[in-house]
Amino acid sequence: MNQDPISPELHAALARLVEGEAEPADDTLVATALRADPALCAALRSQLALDALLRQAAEPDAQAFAGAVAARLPAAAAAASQEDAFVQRVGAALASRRALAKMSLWRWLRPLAAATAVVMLTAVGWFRLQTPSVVVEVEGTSPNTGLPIGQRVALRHIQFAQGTARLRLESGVVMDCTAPFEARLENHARLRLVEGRLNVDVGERGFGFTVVMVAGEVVDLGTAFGVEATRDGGASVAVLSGKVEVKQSHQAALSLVEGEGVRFRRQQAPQRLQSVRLEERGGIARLDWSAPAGAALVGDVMDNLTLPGLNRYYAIISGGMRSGATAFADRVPPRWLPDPGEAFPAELKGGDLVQTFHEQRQTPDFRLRLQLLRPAVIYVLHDSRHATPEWLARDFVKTQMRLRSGPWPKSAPITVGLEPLSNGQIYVSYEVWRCEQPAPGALALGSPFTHRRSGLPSMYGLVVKPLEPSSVFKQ
Amino acid sequence: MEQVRREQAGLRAFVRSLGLRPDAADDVAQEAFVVAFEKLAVFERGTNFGAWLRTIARFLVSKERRREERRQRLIGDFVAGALADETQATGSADAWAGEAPERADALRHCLGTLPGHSRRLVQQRYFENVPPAVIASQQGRTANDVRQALFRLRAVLHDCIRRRLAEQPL
Repeated sequence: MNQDPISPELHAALARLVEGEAEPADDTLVATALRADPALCAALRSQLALDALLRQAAEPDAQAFAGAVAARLPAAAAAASQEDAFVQRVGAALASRRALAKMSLWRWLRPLAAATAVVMLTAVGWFRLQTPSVVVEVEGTSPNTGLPIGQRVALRHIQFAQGTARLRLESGVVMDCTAPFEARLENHARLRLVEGRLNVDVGERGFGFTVVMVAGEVVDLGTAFGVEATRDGGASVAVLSGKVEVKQSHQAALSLVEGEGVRFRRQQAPQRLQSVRLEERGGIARLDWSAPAGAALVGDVMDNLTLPGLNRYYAIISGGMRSGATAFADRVPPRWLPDPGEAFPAELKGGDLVQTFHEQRQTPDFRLRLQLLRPAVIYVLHDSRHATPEWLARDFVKTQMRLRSGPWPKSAPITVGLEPLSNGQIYVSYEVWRCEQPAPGALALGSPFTHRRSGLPSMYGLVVKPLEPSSVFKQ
Repeated sequence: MEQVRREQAGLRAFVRSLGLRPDAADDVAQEAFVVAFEKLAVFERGTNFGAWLRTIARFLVSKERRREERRQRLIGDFVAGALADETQATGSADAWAGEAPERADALRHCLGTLPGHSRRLVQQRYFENVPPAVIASQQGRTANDVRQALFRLRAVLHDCIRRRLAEQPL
């Protein structure tokens, strides 16, 4: 550096740059000084390198880094023999240098090394004792992520191009990550998500777990949620249970509860997420990212509701139609069940279940649009006590199948006039209407409300199944 | 991947010293390993693999500077340019190359020699990931004070590491 001490302004600007908190004028100010003083360049480089070394010392993640490199290598796993060659050649190059050093100096270094080890262990111990390390247990992973299954590793940078991984933090937070995935664990309560899809179950001790994205932050308030971030800065979040808060710069924080979701971008107000694809395992719902987008049957479900503050999503449960499946997105129970003494209709079983909102049963101008990605059969489960809406009679064919929903509480308005069973439970009966769509495209549905008789019908249920090739041919 | 694990710390520090933000530095360091793997056929056995990796990394950083959408990954566009030009002219960035394990060991030693209040500051900033502004509010100081204190601490650590490595043979 020049003999003249650097000015306080320059010192402050340099310090801000290293911390990643530069002000607009800092870049020019520092660059001018660097070009005038080569020693200042060396000093700044040392600062940056030290910063990197300190970050690595705080959270050693060599394993994850190597895993990320492996994930970025094209077909690296399949080319194990090539990797062996790589390791051998690189190893040989490095081994020659190390061997030379050891031969000439080891006898002199041994006593010094022992003393150094004592000092190092003291220093390391001091920091480790006080350092909340981000230890992650890799509970499960597909083989192509490079993560060591079943092991506890200190992770910071997580990246893989293909596959999935289930990671458990010491705080009890469980993250199911789906590729392409890149994120940085800043600590046990904060994940910076660059790209990827994530199901988070924060458990009992993970309250406050935060996912930071370019678009904003999602802060858990005791919940399970799914979140997705894309490289272009887009983000979406869907709450599966409990509550989260979405925080963005220049926007008031938005609270979301179970069944609600939004998509958002930096400096853009969040917009309702109309539908999400869910899977249920062991009674626990998670966002379903296992199927490639092209393999899905229902691409999206959209309605014409524009109520302020409405952020509810339609849940599409792949293969979820079965006896006991939750009928509606906005209340549990009721569930879909066969009539007493009857088997659940085989034709419906295993279909994609679209959970609608029971609350929308009384909106006369309600419209729903299904975006179908493949030829499909659509089933509408209509409250058999009420008149058939015109759109249903026009576009669908009534089948012999019947179902019921329940149990409903006695206080529910739709149970007016229904007699409880001997066990006191009340059920509503539905007739099943069917429509074939031989080509991908949109299908419009209307309201269950007809004005033709008093009382409110139940909201209808929706099931979608692929249209078999033979049926397509018949068309 | 063992080789990657051994070399990664030094390469990440080197890439960061060329003026990239921490996340971007890791990304470029990974890419350098990937390119090295893909270009293995042109690696001359017996030559310095670390130097080859750093050459690849330097090239990748220069690419970052040329791509408009990537410039936000730099600590500053002009600063990164100045660092690159100076590095190109003198090759001095290689001063931060070399055996990473020894440097990491030296860093641990030097951390242990810091006075208590300095260790506490490093502890908060790096090991607890507390932003300078938060540390400042806890200590009744300004964020600038804290950033500059960290700057001075890193300079102290740098001198300590350099001395430590110089004391060691090789």
